[in-house]
Amino acid sequence: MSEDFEPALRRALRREDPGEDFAGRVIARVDSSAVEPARVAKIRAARPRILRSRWLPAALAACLIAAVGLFQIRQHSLDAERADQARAQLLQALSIASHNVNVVRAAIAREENSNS
Amino acid sequence: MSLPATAASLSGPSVAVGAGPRGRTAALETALVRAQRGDLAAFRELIRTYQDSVYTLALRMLKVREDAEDLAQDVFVSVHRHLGEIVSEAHLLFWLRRTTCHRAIDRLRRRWPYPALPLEAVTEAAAAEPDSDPLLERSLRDLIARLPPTPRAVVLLRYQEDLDPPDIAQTLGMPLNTVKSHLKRSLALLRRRCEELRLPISPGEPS
Repeated sequence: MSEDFEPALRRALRREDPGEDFAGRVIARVDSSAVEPARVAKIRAARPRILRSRWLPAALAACLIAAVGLFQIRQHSLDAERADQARAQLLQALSIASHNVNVVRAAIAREENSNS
Repeated sequence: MSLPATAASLSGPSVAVGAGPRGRTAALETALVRAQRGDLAAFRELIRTYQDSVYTLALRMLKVREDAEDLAQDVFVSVHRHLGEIVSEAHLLFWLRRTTCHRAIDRLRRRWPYPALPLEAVTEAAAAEPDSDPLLERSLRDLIARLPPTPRAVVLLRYQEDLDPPDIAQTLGMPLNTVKSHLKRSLALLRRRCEELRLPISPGEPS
C-alpha cells in the first residue's frame, strides 16, 4: 500500500508533547532569570562609586599610556645629556693632546736652532 | 516586528477552551493581557497552548530532545521578557515561530558541520517493515533532518505549522520567491530520496 507524499509528510511532522510540566520548568527559568539580574544589580550597587564608573578602565589606560610616554621622554633627555657630556670630554681630550703636541714641537724646534 | 497578514497564522495549537476558534482566540487574548500584567498563571496557560508547536519545531530542527527542550525554554523565557511588545495572540504565535526558527538555525550554524544521519540507517528502518506507518514517518523525518537548516525550517513551517508560503516568508524574513524555491527543491529532493529508498509512498503531484 502506498501513501500520498504530502499527507504522509504532514503526518510525519505532527506535533509532539514536550513532556510533563514543561510549563513549570519554563516558569522556574523565568523566576530565576528575574532573580539573577536583581542579584547582579545588588552586587554592583555594593561596590564603591568610583569602581562602578565605566570611565575607570579608560582613565587607567590613559594614565598608563601617559606614564610610559613620560618615561620614554625622560630616557631620551638623559641619553642626550650623556651624549653632550661625552662630546665635551672628547673635545677637552683633543685640546690637551693638541697642546702637548705643540709643546713637543716647540721644544724640537728650539733644539734644532741651537744645534745649527 | 510586523504582524502576520493572513488567517493561516492564526491556526495555532489546541487550547483547552471549548467555545470554538473565536472563543479560543478571545481566551488567549485575555490570557495575554493578564500575562502582560505579570500574571504567571496566565503565562503558564500561554505556554501550555503553544508548547507543542515550539518544542516540535525545535526538535525537528535540532534533532536532539535535550537541545530542543533547552531551545523551547529559551524561546518562552525570551517571549516573557518581550511580552510588552506583543499586541495579539496571532502576533505571539508569529513571534514564537520566528524566534524558534531563527535561534535553531543559529545553533545549527554554530554546530557546523552538522552531523548527518547515515543513509543506510534510513534504508534499514524502511526495509525492516515497509508497510508500517511509524517506520515510514520516521524515515521521512530522518530525510527532512538531512536538509540544510533554512530549507528544513521552510518545510517544517509548511507541513508542520501549515503556513502558506507568504506567511513562511514573513516568519523567516526572506523573499517569497526564495521560500517557493526552497520548498520546490526540498520536496523534489525528498521525493527522489523516497524513490531511492523504495519507501511505500507515491510521489504525488508537486504543489
